[in-house]
Amino acid sequence: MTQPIIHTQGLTFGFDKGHRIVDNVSLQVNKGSIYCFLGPNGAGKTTTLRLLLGLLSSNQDIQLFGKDLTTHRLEILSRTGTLIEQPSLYGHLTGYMNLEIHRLAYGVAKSRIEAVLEICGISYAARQKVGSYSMGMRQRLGICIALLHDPELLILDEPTNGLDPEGMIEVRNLIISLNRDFKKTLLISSHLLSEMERIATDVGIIRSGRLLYQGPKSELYSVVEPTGLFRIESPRTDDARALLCSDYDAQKVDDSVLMISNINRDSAPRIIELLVQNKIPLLGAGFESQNLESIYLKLISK
Amino acid sequence: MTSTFLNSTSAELIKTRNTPAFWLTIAGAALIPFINALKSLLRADYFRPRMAEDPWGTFIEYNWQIAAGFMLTMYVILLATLIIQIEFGNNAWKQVYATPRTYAEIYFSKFLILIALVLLCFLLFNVFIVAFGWFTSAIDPSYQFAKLPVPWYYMLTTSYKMIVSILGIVSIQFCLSLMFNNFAIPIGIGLVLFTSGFMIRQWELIYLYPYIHPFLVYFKNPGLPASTATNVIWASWAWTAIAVFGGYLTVALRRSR
Repeated sequence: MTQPIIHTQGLTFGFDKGHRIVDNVSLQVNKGSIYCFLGPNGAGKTTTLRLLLGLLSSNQDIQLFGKDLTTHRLEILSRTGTLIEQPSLYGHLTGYMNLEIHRLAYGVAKSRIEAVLEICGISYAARQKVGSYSMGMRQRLGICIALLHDPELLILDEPTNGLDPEGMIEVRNLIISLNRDFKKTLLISSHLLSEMERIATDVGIIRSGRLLYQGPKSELYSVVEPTGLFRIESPRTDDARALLCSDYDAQKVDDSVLMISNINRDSAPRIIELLVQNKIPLLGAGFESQNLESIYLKLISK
Repeated sequence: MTSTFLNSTSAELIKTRNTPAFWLTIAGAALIPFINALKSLLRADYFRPRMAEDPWGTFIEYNWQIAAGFMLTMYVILLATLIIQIEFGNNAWKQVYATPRTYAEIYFSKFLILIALVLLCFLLFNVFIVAFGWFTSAIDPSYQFAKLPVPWYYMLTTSYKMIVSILGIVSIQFCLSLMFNNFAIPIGIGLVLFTSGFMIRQWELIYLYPYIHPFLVYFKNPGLPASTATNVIWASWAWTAIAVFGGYLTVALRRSR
């Protein structure tokens, strides 16, 4: 049984009465996972992360490392690295001085500054004023700050925001390496699905403040797949459609492709059998491959 | 706890490097002595006879009149906001609150830096008064500054009284600046409270009104009870205590950090 690093029970929050930004969210992030928290803009991702860090006061059941946030705030924060929304950087100071400020706040050795600059690949700009940094450099320095005190848990809000494709690959590899080589647990919010699909071990999908799905990424595919699209390739799509349309929702895409929607896994063999029995040549048949994006779109449009 | 507080305060000190708050302190301290030196040199015919009897005393008074009258209050109103804007302007409060520090540490380390800058301004103001006095007599030897001893003790006691008189305003402005992320609001409130003070200057309980404290401490106050200037000192300490507590509550009880 893996131990949950983050655990909330029915987390609810709103600035105005009646309007809930976060609505009954029970989050569970397990040790050693890369938990990707997905949802459209304004879904409540950042608000949830802020609640987890005590940046919004709520007095609700929020536990990190098995400890209550209200009573163990300082201990929890000392074990957690954060990057919330835009990186909080002092533009009038150099990258190095920005890290020095946080180094003093966390009380860690000076050598950590060079170490995190190296890890995030931004050593070359350490003596430059942050005001002159590009978006990508700021993002990396923000991750440096999160890593400075070598925390067990990293909470990163849109860490690949504003990065170019090369930068995204670097940050992605960095996240994987932090998880695999440095054994860190990561909670990452994002709306960049293809990026998250490559790194996530677990997924949470939120819309309008409600958690629609939570669990291992692998299970997510099976949750949605049975109701997915089944694709049939055949030179005789018209005949195939005539055969199936009474029992199934079959749509012709073009002369060689037929799509059957809303069928479950068990129906698939029967469809193939029926087509074979009626001597309809099959070039291919199978569920449309599900990627995170299609599942996500399906979930959030429900 | 002590070492983390020292670390926090060092971190706050680093944040002020090269900021408008820092340069305002230097420039603010130099401005009045510089203009007074310029006036003395350019209109020596007018000022020399006036400074003939007690050159240092008169020169120091010229400087303090402007400072106590309004410049000092304007300076602290601006400074308190500029210090806090280092966080608001860089969208950095959330990272500050996400560090494992108590709210007291966060608040008092910042407040201490604000007080340190005010003290630096006082120190520099005195240094610049002396430096520009000497400079004036170096350019125009008919001024006697270089030949006469500097009244250090008088400068020290005056500075002490003025520091105490300004503490209430510093603490209130610090508290206001923490409340609003828009820098114009605390400055606006400060200026309104300051100018209103002049309108109620003849009130017999005026010593309770913090924004007029520097004025009451420095100037003679005809028409007011003789105890006014001494009452100001404890009233200023009382306002400091109230506003420091209020500022701490603002930081500790803030709903969205």
